[in-house]
Amino acid sequence: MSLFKDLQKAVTQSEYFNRLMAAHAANEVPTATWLSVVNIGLSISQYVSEALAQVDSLLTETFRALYLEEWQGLLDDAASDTDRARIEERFRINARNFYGIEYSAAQLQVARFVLTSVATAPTQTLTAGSIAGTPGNGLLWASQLEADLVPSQRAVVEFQAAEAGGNYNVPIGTTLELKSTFVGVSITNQASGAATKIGDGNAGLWVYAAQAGVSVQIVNAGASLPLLVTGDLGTLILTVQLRTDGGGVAQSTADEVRNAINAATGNPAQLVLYARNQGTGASVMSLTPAALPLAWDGGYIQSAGSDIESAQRLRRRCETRLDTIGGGGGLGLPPGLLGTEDALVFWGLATPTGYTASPVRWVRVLSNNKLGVMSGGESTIILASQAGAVAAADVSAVALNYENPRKYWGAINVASAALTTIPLIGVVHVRASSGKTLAEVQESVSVALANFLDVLGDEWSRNSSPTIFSNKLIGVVDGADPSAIIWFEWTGFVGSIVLSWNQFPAWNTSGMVYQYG
Amino acid sequence: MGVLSDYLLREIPRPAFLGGKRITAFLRSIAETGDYYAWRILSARNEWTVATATREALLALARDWNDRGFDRETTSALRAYLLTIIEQHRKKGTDDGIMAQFARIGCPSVEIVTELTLRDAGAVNPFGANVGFFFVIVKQPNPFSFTYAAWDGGGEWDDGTSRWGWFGSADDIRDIEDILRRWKPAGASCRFVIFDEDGTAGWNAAGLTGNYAQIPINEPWEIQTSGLISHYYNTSFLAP
Repeated sequence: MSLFKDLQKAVTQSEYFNRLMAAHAANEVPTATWLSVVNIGLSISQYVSEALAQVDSLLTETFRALYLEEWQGLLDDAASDTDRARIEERFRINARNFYGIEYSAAQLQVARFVLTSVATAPTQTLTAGSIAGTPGNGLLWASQLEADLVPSQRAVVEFQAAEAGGNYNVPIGTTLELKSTFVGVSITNQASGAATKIGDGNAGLWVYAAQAGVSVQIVNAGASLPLLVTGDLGTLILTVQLRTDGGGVAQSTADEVRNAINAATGNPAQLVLYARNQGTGASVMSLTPAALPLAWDGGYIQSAGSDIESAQRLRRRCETRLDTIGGGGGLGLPPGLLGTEDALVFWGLATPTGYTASPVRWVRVLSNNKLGVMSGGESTIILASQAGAVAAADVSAVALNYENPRKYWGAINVASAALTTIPLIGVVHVRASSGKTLAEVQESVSVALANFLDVLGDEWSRNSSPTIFSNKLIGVVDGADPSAIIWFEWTGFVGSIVLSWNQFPAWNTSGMVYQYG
Repeated sequence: MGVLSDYLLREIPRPAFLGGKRITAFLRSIAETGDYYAWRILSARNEWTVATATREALLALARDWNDRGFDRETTSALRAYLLTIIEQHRKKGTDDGIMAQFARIGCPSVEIVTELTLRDAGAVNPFGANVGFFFVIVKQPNPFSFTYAAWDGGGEWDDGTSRWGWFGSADDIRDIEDILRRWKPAGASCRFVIFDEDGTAGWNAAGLTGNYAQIPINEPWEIQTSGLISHYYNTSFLAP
């Protein structure tokens, strides 16, 4: 074994003990008289061997953590979650020390939930800290704001996830329920616009759009007019005409306007979901110089939840770090201007401005490519999240990572990956004598497939054209729990599946059957 | 003797009751075993230091910096390269960077001919006006041998003895592809590499000239789901 390889393997207690006993023999220590297991010389030798094995283990762990390519192996070798956490902390220290890269901590999701009160419900107040969640003992969120729940009206309320993690980014339409009791109120995670500021302070509102492209204008249309809210579904403009006195002076307060918007039905309700006061609402509502566009991102997530950055993702950022200084040596250009594919991977993984964590897990850069078509001087940058696709708003935010200063040559196109389902079909034959339940084996296979997706994602990111071989999948499943799985009787696709330019794989395991024998 | 043996048995005073022959022998055994651990620590330090690392460790260090070693590169050359790693990576995305990498595999003289260069030289619609397309001429001296005559005489791609008349191995091709992927700016695309056989290879506005062997290069995404690659300016900058 080479020195380098030798240093990657800790010397065990028994190996140190054998080495120590050999030294005793060479030094004529009378070990032949150590007949009792409680002999002090024997006991001290065992203790010393154990002490050396422990510090040797620390040495090899520290040494291996210095090499990015050893990270995965170190994690695989971790004996416990505690060990794994300690090792990952070592990675983070190395990333900070050697690459100037800070890992991304887990983030709490903030969601915009829409609460709707039926006509027969009483008027109620949702206090900050009220709980919503998925049915049963599922995910929980706590409201960040107080809101009035008025019969036949809706309210959009920001809720914060109870725990950090990406699993809170559930799809639109996920069944939710209020855990705190509010009679006649339902809750959904339908798409809603983020709060848009109209006016200022006590004379202003936060307004939430109900669809894309909505604008709001607050107007003074002349003397002696009532407060009126109208909506044009053609122009998608919601117009609030303020109540005026005989002198043409606007009289409607922000709170009155809020009430009018929330109570409106018909067209206005199709344009705006909800309005709330910025301040007390006691001042006369500010006019808008023109129709102000409301924010819309097509989702309900105010701030995405995310898991702590994985070691694999951190490693990829570390190894592409040095590519970002390119372009300054040969041509005397500003560093970073001629981004290599790997440099663009680095910037694609960076956290976009305004985000607490990046929504991107993997980045693939295609040279000479405009969204799948040959195009000289252009690159296509494909972003994939842990779940596969990346939301359009997130793609736009990440695209800004490449600007100011510009970090690429030619032109770039940034796009989300498209999920491609890879069907796994066959029978997993399990040894009954293993003592494992079929559910346990299925869980092992799920973990193995998730790990394999990490491997494929890395390959995808390195621009190797990712090919999914059926034989490889069989091997992954077979190896998921070798002591329990006899074999995986594959009846799925033959040969391989080559992913096209923007495809990212997703496993479909519905065709896998688990059985004993 | 070793680090711990010297220290425990020679440098620090020991009380008389630890000075007997048997106890000294016992302590020596422990100290010598500890010396092995100390040697491992010192070895680890050496392996993580470019100036003293073995080749295997140097290769791993190179990968830490998103770089690599080559089979054709000596250990001392690899070490010298890694000692200048920051300066080297400042050349990423530049012609100088690509040329420096070719030098590492024994090709010190390389010409990079871009679409713009060809256009300036009067070539008509070179590379189909695909800005950023380029080709590489690996001039003499280079470590590859050729069967130019065999190729001219009808030899085929990978006919069992040579690849399009070029005796570089498939691993050499992978090395060259990897150099180009890592070191060219994103958006640029090398379409082929020609290897000068006898000092005559070159180009003018009308095409390639002289004696050379030629290897097509494609971007990885050009591999279609069928596994095939469509030919596109892979043998000539004038004809797709």
